[in-house]
Amino acid sequence: MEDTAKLNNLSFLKGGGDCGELLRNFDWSKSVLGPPQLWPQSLKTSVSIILHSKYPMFLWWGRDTIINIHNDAYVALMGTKHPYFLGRRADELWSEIWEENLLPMKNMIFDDAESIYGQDLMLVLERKGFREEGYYNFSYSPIINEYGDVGGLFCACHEETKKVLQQRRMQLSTEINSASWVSNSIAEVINASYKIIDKYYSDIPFSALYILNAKGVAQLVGSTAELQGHEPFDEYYDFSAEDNFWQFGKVIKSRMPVFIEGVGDKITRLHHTLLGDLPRTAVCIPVFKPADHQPIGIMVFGVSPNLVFNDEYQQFFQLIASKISLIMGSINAREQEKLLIKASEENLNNILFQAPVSIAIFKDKELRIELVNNKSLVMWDRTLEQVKGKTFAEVFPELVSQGHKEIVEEVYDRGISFSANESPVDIFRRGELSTAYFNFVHEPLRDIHHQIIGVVTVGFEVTDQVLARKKVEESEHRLNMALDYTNTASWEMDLHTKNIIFTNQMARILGFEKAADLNFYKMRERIHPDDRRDVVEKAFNAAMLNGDYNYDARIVLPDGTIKWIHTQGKVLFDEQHMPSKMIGTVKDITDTKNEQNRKDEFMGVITHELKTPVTSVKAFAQYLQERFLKTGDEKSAALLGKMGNQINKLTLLIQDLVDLTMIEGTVLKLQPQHFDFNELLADTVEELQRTTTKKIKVVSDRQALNVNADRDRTGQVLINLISNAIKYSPEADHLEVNSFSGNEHLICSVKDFGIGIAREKQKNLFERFYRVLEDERSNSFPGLGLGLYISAEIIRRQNGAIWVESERGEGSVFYFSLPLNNS
Amino acid sequence: MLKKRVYVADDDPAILEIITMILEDEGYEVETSVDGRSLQDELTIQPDLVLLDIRMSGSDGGEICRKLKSNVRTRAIPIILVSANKDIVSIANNCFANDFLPKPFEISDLIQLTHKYTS
Repeated sequence: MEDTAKLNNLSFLKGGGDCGELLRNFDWSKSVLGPPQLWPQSLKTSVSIILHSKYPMFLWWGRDTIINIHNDAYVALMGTKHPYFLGRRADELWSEIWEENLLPMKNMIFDDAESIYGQDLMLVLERKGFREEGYYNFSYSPIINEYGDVGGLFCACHEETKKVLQQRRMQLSTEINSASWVSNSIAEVINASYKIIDKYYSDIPFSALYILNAKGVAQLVGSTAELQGHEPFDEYYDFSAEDNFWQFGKVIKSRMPVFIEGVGDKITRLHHTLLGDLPRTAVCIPVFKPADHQPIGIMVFGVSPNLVFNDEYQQFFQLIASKISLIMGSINAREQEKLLIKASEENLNNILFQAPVSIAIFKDKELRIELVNNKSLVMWDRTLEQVKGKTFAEVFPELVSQGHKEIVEEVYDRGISFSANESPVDIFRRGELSTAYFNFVHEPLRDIHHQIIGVVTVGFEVTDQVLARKKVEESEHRLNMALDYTNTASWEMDLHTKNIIFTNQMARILGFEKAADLNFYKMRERIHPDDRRDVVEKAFNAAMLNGDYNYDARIVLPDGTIKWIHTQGKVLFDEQHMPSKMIGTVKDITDTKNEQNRKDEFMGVITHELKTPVTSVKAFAQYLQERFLKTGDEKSAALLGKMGNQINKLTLLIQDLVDLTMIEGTVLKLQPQHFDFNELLADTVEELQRTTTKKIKVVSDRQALNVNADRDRTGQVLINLISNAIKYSPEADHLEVNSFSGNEHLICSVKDFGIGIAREKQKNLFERFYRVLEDERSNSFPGLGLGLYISAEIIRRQNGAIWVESERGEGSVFYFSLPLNNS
Repeated sequence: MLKKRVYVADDDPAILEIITMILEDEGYEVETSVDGRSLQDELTIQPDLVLLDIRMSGSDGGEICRKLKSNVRTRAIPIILVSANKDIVSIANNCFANDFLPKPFEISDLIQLTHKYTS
């Protein structure tokens, strides 16, 4: 054959595959082109290029009768039209689209010598025995012949059907995806999906979706609009019916797609079709639940009669079906989620309503109460009906003028939360406006788009706590004022660490500028050196034993000023009964001390002044008495002796007054010394025996009763008690004085046989200015009523006791005790 | 025999009078003063005994006593404080007085003390 070609000078047809061979063997005698040997060179060259190209190409040659020549690569586009139309008329080849599509294009190229490019042009070719929807890119250009005219047309073309269909199907899939996001229920998503599928009738001429319900019945839940009013699908699919055209049972059972042929019998009419052809085939695809891959339904797709039903097409249907199932699954999940959210909202509501704090939600700009819990209602003293849906101003008219509404509004406007602690609020509750205190926070409430839609208020009332604290503060304040006023500081000391805390009066009293400068040791340094050991340490040691801390001491300020302080405290003992803490007060008693000193001085002056005339009167009386004795005027001398006795009584009375003053001022100074009490008793009795005719009987131990006491003052007590015994037993001829030793104390008693003391009067006996006899007889028992008071004070201040046993008319026994000192 | 001289200072003239009478009866020569100031001047004739009140108008017996006792030339003169002051014991100690006699006193005590310090 090659030889023949060469021979016939057909080397330009050499190669070119099947088409080349067909052209070489073509009977060109009947063709308008004539034998190839005679073709113009431009045609020969063009044909050679086409045949040797692997790209789909063809050329048309001739102006009136146009002959088509194509290459092997183009055969696929030709379909069944190859090989017949190779070398034959182009207008016959594409008769179906010639007039409409190709002739105008042909004229543009032949007449105007222009080139044309067409992209993704749809051409319906019947190359596969049916009218096929196809897409092509075409490049048409003129072929200029030897004469400079357009001798023919060259076309390189490429089929893009696969790409176009892919894109279109991808588009459908994407649209269905987006439909799912605007749908809230399965019904909605199915409806929306089918609205999209309706537009893609070229790929899906019709479709229906059945869902298996709980009873296993397949129910029609959606279909393309094409089928409405046509009803090829029953609402319920009867699996057991004999007419099981759609073969759903097989689909469910096999879990595989089932192809249904002869659909044209069922689907007899469609509104929208690409070319008016009805589908002949459908495919029923099982729809699986994504989670466990169980069939939940069946989706029926009509197969386009104008497309090849290849793997890609089938996978596309599968994709749509699984997409729908996924969306339904996600909707289900969302519905489940919503149910969960609803449940958790209910939970939340429960929590809100049972919360121990007040929670309220104010909605919108008007601050309408949307939600309140019970705690709020109780706290506000309002009913649900009074607040629900009402505005802040309606619910709390009394709070508007207090600025609370503005605060909430600002939270709403600015989105910044506001919190307050112990905020005083005048709120109307239980029929009256009263001040209450609240801790609360107003938070802006935002929706999912972060827009403020309200204000959440969480709060609780702290009125009781605030009032209680205020009370404490007030009493602290009062105490502080009292401390200030009385120049008193209170303190507390840890006995182990010597850490001391105190009120702020302490620094002032001790002359420190700042409280921070103070500690235990610096305080001690302030104490006057003479008082440090003798007074303070002694008091401290005593406190460790008996728990009471008590002393007056001088302090020396930096400028040398001496002040007096009075310290009083109590020791606190721990579980082991060891001293652990001491609490107490320090009082500046400088003024009191000064006052006392002035008083002492004054009393000194008074007694001095009283004693001075007494001194001269007494001396004159005695001098006069001596003179009368010398001259032998004994009667005058005796009278002056009586006068001397009265002067002595006056002297004693003056002494009593001095003693009283000293006791009252707590400055009765006792000067303890070691002595034998029995000796003092003997001396005193001997002295007093001289002044009375009554016999003073003494009964005492022979041993010494050693005491550490003020001898003169103790003697004064004995004199007082014995003098009283004499004075108040006018009828008796004797009295008894006993002294004996107890364990740690001596006890001394003075017994008379006189008028006695009524029981009810005994308890007041040791009070000052108290006189037993308030009746007419009192005049016969003179005295200021100070003696027993002074005696009692002297005994008590020496850690002794004094008491009386008496019956009216049967005499009295006065007792006192004193600590023995046998060391 | 020269009479012993007793110097008595007391701001109460009545006291001065009675003490003078008592001591003159006992054979003393008595010089009196209402404030004791003359004691602080240079003494021309030294007394054999000083009886000194503590609280006198314008002067302090205790202070006078202390000065006399701290002066080499006068510290040998015995001084007895005679006073109604309640602190007479401690004052007497503090100003180095030889003795004290609380007011009101017994005449016998006055005479006994005077004899004691002048014999």
